[in-house]
Amino acid sequence: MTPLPKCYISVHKSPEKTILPHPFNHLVDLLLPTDLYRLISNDLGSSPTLSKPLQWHRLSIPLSAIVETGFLTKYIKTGNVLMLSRGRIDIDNVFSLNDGILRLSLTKEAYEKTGLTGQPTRFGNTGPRKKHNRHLVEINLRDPAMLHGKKGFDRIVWSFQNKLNKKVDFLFCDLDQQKNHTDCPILAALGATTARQVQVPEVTSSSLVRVPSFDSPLGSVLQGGGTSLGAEYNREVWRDWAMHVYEWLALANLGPADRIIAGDNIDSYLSTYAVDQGEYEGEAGMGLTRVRFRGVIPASWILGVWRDVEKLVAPVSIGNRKEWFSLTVHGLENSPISWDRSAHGSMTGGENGYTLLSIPRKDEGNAECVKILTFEVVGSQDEHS
Amino acid sequence: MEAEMIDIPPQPKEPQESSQFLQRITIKNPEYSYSHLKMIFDPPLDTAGVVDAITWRTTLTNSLMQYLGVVGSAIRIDILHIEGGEAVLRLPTTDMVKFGAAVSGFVGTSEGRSIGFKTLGNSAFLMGLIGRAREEDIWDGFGG
Repeated sequence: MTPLPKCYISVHKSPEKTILPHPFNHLVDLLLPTDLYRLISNDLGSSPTLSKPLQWHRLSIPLSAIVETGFLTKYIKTGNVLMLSRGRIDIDNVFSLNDGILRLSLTKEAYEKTGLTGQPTRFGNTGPRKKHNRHLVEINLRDPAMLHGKKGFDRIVWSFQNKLNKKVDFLFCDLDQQKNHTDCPILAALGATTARQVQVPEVTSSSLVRVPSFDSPLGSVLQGGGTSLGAEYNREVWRDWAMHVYEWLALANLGPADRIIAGDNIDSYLSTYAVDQGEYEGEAGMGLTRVRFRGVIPASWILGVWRDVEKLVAPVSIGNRKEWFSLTVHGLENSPISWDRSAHGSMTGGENGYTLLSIPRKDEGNAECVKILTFEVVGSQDEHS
Repeated sequence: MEAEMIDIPPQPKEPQESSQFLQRITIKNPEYSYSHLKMIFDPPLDTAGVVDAITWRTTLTNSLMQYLGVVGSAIRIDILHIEGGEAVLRLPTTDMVKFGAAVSGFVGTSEGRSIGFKTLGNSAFLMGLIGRAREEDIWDGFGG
């Protein structure tokens, strides 16, 4: 039995704690009711985050290009970039760079050839005899000792020039591009010809779909209540509700999926899936809009989008009620880390991503407030907790 | 997620979620898992046609019957979404391993064509499949 992936569900976790530590993202889906989208779409387009262009590049360069003085000074010492090389994390050599830290996830052969010091990787070492097949070398390029002329650094440069000297496909995103957005000669020299835009979304509006209840069933709780059978039941009900909502969000992001479309009446022989509809839109259903961003997407930009949407949605109420919206982010499967410094592998599935759902509800004083539900999913090989 | 019968306890009068403290749970054994499959025809279909739900269901039943017999055909499969020759399916997590083996080894025939499946992704969480299916695009067309 292969290990299964995990899903963490949190309530009242602040969005920045989920968004910011997760650097390598490739797909962001914003999902909201079409009525709400129509109201905010103009303002959203001119919001601080979305109105500025955001670019990313593809580079085909050898590792040694990263440690050349020009690149090192501009993009690592003074700037900040995000880079990830192509390859499968458990099989190939994979290189990543974020916040000045270069991570080399190496096969046994490559590790022995380079002669750099590293640790056995957390994942990918589960052979029959538990041999250390893969190693992770972490180099903090912002360290003051990382300068040309210093012994340790020259050793690294030597192995990049002589051992790991093949050209590698990199994804590249400059996190400081708002400051120095003019075309950079260093990048041009490295052959980064086409810049790709992130901030132009792909917007799809759907026909009417069935929407589940975003209020957890009465009496159900996330945690607590003791060990009695009744309390266990209440927790069970909450879990089932949360998983149902999560499953529905995924179905809605699929396009939406056939089974949640309002007019769908499939035979139970083919599918028994049913949406637990709440008081939201009743039988008629609700139109949904998905705003999809693709590319190498920096975490701070995602937080910006979330904040912008939050701000725009706050004053809006449709038919006496506040509206919900959700943001789903998918991480790159083959990055050596998922959140922060948590090691990441991808044996049976390298999914690492999260969904934030903002639900309006009334608090005790009957005032409107917002509850944020966070779903974080990691594959079976991931340290994130 | 056991399916035991439990007497429904009396409902507490007020919802107990008033605290603003962080609360968190971990789901390790979800009830369902999901599979993203593509049906492969050889020779390929002339029309770039959609494979309908009935075809999916019967072909899947055939493959499970072939590999596991009657036990296999009893696995409950929900067809959640169909797009072209691809489908997203939901089935009980406990049957996932058997199912994976059955579809990957299956070769059937229909109207002179042989049919097989290609597994595009499996996950215990549907959201995980969406990210995986789309990731290749970002790496494609390098140098372009």
